[in-house]
Amino acid sequence: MNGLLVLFDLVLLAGIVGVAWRCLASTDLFRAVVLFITFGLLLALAWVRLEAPDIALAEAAIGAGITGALLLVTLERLRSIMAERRSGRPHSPPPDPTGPHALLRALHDPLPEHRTFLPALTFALVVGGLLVTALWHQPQSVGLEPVVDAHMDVSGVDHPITAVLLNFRAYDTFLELAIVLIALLGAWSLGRHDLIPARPAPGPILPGTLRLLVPVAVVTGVYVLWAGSHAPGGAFQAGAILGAAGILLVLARPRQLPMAPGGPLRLGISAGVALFLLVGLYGLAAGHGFLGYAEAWAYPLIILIEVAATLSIALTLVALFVAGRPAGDDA
Amino acid sequence: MSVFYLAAALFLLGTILLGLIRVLRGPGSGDRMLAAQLFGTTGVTILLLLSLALEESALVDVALVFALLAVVAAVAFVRQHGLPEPPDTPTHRQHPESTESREPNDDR
Amino acid sequence: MIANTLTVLLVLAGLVFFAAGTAGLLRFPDVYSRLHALTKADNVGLGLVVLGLMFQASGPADILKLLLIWVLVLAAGTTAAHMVAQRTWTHGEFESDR
Repeated sequence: MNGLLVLFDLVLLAGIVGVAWRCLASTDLFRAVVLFITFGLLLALAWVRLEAPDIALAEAAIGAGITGALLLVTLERLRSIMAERRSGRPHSPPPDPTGPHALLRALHDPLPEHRTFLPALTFALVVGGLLVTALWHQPQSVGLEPVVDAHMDVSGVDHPITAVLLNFRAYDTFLELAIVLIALLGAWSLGRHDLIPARPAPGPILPGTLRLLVPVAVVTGVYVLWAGSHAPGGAFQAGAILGAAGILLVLARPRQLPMAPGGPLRLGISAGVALFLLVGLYGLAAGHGFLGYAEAWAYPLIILIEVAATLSIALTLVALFVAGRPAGDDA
Repeated sequence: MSVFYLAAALFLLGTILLGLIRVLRGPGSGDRMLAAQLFGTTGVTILLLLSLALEESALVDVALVFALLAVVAAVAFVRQHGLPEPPDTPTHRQHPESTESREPNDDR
Repeated sequence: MIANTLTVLLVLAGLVFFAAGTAGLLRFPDVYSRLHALTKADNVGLGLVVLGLMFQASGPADILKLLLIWVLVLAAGTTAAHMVAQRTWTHGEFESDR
């Protein structure tokens, strides 16, 4: 059993390193994208082997559902920009703004290899050396597991990871949610969005699949959120699943989807951070410290925060995918 | 039993690594997309086998999420449809009925 | 005991289909043939493995979850095959990827 496990890990590691290498070395962008999707799959297996099913769940949702589609749609836009540049025409719909296109062009026409080889090698050696030194000096320690186990009864939930994320170290999670929000603000500050055009595939297959998948995705998202209180799962994973379902709808929408009204959209996107902050301030006022809960209230408050965070994360991921402020409210 | 599950998972991991040859060789993007789809299904199976081998029932949920979202990349892939492409493409074919009018997004 | 034997047999049968799918992916001459190798063999393979693992499930909820996973993969495989075939047909097999 143990020998087989080691063999499995070695094969997995070889696969991960090999796929990463071929992905970075690929001159064909589409091949690089497919290799990156495969890389995500192998990485999820690696998280499983590292006994971190929570992260494997997040990697599954983000790797399978979001990054693949994001890279493919980016490639789609990149190609149309390049085709227009080649044919010498100006961009037909004036993109807003023009800044990012310079970056896209640099990505498409990379520097010749002899000019990048030496800096890349130096960088890899320095980072690799730092990693090895860090691992070399790793102290022998049991970690925080016994501390967490000893305090599980006051946490309000049964899953240690959720207890750490939303009770013991709620501050970190609060700041993570804020970072997600700030990322979206950054994307919106670049300008109004160039909506991804509706380009439905002809035939009944795709609409039928959507009708099957989207309801199942919603149920699965809620299930993963609920499972977070006693098993791997929680707000980030559930938000990523619901966000992926939203992205699927954006990609495959048959005609026009009505645009989300700006006001409620902003409210939903900020709900997670706002509610977290309110609960934190309430804890401060009630004398439990910032983001501390009374023991009896821990479970309902955690559930409340997680529901709001799930909604915000799902909406934010879709908004980041579409990129750019909603149209029509530039006033 | 868990040795059997682990051996089966290892076998499937081997088929993924073999299938990478198709991704590297192509030749078309359809071939690469198909390979990625196969890897997704194989990954789901590996997760199911590992959930029994390692006695970690949460892995079934990971497999469920992979199965649920396996189609997203393929949907993004087919959208690239209708883009300008070099006219000298070897086996370029067109549906007679699809005129491929590339209007700029009409749903703003 | 009988359940374990059935599981081993069904999982082994499933693995044969996965091996066949990979062989088809590598050996078949064009995209349209590879569609067959993949989406049929592959999903029968998962179906057999799921059927085998059902004998080890601890309750009806587990069995239903396994069944759901199989149905979702079937839907994904069918849709992906359709999309790839459609795109290859309208777009040509050897389009430029750059």
